[in-house]
Amino acid sequence: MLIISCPWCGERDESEFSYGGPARPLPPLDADAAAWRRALYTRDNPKGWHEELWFHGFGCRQWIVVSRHTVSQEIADSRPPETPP
Amino acid sequence: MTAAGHSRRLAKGGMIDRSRPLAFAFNGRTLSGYEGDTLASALMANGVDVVARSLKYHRPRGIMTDGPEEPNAVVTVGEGSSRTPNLKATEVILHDGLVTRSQNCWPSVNHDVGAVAGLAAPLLGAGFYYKTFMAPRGAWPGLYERLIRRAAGLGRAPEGHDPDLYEHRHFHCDVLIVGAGPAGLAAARVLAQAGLRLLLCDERSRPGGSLTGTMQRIDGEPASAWARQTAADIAASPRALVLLETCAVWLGDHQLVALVERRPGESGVAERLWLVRPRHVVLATGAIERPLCFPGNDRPGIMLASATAAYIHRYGVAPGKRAVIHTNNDSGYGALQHLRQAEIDVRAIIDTRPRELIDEAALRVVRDVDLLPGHRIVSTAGRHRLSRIRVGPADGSRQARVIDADLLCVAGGWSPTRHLLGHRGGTVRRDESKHASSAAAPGDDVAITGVAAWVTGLAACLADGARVAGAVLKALGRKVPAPRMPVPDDETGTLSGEPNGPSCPTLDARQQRKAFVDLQNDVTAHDVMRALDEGYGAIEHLKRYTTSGMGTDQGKLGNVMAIDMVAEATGMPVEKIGHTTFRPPYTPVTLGALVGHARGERLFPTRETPFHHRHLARGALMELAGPWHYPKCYPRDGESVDAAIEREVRTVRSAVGFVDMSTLGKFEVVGPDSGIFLERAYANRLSTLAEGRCRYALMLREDGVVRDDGTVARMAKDRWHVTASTAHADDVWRHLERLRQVEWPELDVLLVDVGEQRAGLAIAGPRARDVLAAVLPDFDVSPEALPFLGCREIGFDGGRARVFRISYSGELGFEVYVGARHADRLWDAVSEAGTPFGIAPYGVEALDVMRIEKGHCAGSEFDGRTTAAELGLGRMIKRDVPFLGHALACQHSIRQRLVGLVSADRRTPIPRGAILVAGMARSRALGHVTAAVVSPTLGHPIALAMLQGSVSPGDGELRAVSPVAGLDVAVEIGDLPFYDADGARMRA
Repeated sequence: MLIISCPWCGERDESEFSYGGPARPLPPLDADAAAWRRALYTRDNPKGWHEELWFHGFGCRQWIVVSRHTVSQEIADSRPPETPP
Repeated sequence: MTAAGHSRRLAKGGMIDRSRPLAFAFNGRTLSGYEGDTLASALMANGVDVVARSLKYHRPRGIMTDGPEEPNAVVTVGEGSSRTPNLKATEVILHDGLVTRSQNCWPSVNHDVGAVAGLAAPLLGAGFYYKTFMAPRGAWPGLYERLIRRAAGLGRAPEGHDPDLYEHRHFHCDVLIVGAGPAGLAAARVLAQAGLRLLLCDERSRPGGSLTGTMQRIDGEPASAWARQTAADIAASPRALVLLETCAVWLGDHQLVALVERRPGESGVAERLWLVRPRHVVLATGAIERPLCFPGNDRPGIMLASATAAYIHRYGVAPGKRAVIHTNNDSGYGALQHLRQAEIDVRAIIDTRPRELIDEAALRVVRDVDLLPGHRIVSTAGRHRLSRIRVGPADGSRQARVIDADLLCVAGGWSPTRHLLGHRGGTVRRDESKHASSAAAPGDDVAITGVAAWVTGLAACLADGARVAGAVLKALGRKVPAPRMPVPDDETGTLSGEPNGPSCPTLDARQQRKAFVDLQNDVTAHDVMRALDEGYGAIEHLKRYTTSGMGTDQGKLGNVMAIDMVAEATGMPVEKIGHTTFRPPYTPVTLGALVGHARGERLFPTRETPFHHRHLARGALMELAGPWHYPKCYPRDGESVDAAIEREVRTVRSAVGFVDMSTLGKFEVVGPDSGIFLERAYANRLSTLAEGRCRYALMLREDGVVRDDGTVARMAKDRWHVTASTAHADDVWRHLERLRQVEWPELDVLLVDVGEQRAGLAIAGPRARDVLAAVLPDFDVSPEALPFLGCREIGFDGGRARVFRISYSGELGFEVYVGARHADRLWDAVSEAGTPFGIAPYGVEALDVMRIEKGHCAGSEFDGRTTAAELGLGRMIKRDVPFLGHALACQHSIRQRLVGLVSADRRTPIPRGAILVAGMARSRALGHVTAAVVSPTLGHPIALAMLQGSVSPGDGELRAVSPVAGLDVAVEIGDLPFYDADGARMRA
């Protein structure tokens, strides 16, 4: 069980959050089907640092971006989604 | 004083309370033990040799260890619904009235019919099941499965509800120390004095670890007394907590450690799961002694040398009368003094090493005992207990000789207990120069100390514990004190750290079959050799092929020997062979402890709508719909559930009814860009919606599959009222917020979840307008002022009410939403105003009947696999404006379609969830029934179903088949909607 540092609420237990997949923008709405397929089904599965979205549903109800190491589970950083890393 | 029947209890000694005898039952016999006994020690004191039968060959097995590594003495404790199978007798703390049974034997543990399996042993080797039950495939479901189920498995699951209580506790502390042995106590002592918030746990019922099975002294007093006093001192410090009978089973990510506390003091709680988040973890988990592999190494009376000492010192039990020590390292010689103290006659010491490799100090203690260096055991004999051992030189230079003995103390070296480190991931390795299995490096926040870190010798362990405590204090920014170190008297019998001698002698094929590498799963050296022959050389493959290390001891003993066997057979160094993965939990955990309080009505948190007490007052039959307490129906006096549902439907169709709509997701969408936001989020056109109008709205997932449906109403230019279905309310909210916060932050729009704040009632039926007019006398409810799909906001009860003219039932209908605190007032007003028109509240069942009659989709049709086109909603999807899900929605082929079904005879109900088949082609499913009811309106059964698009009339008669319910009903495709196809009633 992770402890995720929410930029708004501080360190909280993983059970307060839901996972939202890799933090990368969706294709534009008018992009073609191939672009959407790539975005949805051809995902990286990195061994190492991973930028991902989490929703703090039992807290501030904000989506946040978390940098998590997929091997050590270390969490290096978390920020609001519009903030560049 | 010793109780009657305690044939093996020593006259004095042990940490038992001889003034407190306890009665317990074993296989129907009433026996006695003392406070402080484990079930294993009490059985041993009573002279019980055979405690269980082995899994495969049903060989008689006794007690081998004094801890969680016990492979043999596995028993069932309790009866009926309290029955817990597969407990290790060595871990069961004896209490008065304990009822226990042997497993794997019939009719009794001493006369077991299953033992004939031993005769078939040559046939039951490695991979037996894989090879035997391959063909014919058709025999699998019936014959093979039944055979395997009967033979496999350990113990019998309890019946009925577990009456015991379990609980979870969360705990935060500076340091968690796992293990109250010498190193753990030394560390805890320093940290407690420094005033840290500290949790010290140990799986045993008394502190001290190895100190409770030794004759050493610390600071001049017996080591066990020192341990007891030190633990008491630690427990007395204000910020420290000492938990005994508490086993750390899991070291998880981010420093979450799970402990299972058994039989905690408070009344009624059987087990407590602690979820601890310490800043630092200190693992002082000690080591587990290894067995040795030799023919006949599984007989009752063959024990680990350390366990022999433990039974003598902890429980005052002599495990035998005539002992032989079999060792491959110096620690085995330590057993000698313990056996002598218990006046057990030591007949010989068999050392696999040649004399020149044996430590001088070890040789000095041997004195008058027959030492056989460079020897091995050729065979053992004894039906229910060891009686004779045949010993010969390892090189076969001389004839084997027979030694008469009923106790064989086996010392195969030590495996430091590092399982918890393995839970963190990383590779587990064996390092033979240190005897040890080592997992990944501990890391900054986990320290390992004492024998677990392969620090050998008592003084060194005490010093190492203090050193680790100092490092923790330093890391926490505290001053490191220089504590006075406890001084042990001598180091006789403690670990020397020298490499082991050989642990697996070369055996011929006949001997291999009797030499067990995993006693619980009856894996023999022969099985290992055969697996190697067949190419299962990788240790993880070998484990799965032979099942070595897969029993309830989880490879603490078994797997160690398998690895040694592979090393012996292949000539590969053990370091290269590797080790199977340590996975949590460290020792088996009951489901009750994992579940805790979350069962029955506390399975998950439940929700009530603002109308809850009004429902109860009206006599609603409540049921749980997801988390919601919701009325199923409102049966009147003497009315059956079916009759109530039918009456409620008829009331709505002929007069008027009302229903609680508060469980819907309700969102307020506000802002200059709110129209653009909704246009992008929903699949149908919304930005053209006029103020004061509402529309059915469909939401797709990114992949084009339907996510949810709801109503979107434009209350004002920049203010929208959006609903989501009850089941998807949370998901839709999360999704909309993600679109707003992450995907389209440039849009000036705000979302507010008002699901909890708004209460809603739907009023439906031909007289609905009359009721609404009476509820809201100042409001013009005429069709001109409030047309179909119109909406208004007006005053009500000093607050605001929103009125929507929408219909789910298919009748003329209105939905009224008010602030939750006005809910009672709204309910009473509707109920009162409707009385002259025969109004009645209706529940979820009537709601469902009417939506099926109308062919509306709900959760069972929006199952995450259906597209809008398949549900007949394809025409709603806009083509010109891009929206989320647009790109892929257009790509899906239509594989199925929503259809209405009626039973062919118009009488037989259609089973819910039934599979649709056609004519003779019954092996191919053509679809499934998603919802089915008997329609009171139409007077016959109807259903909604997803039917595969390729079905043609020539396929023959369509049938709805439910093998689960044993039903098979001929059905016909009917026209959707079943009721009021042109919608005239709801537009009235």
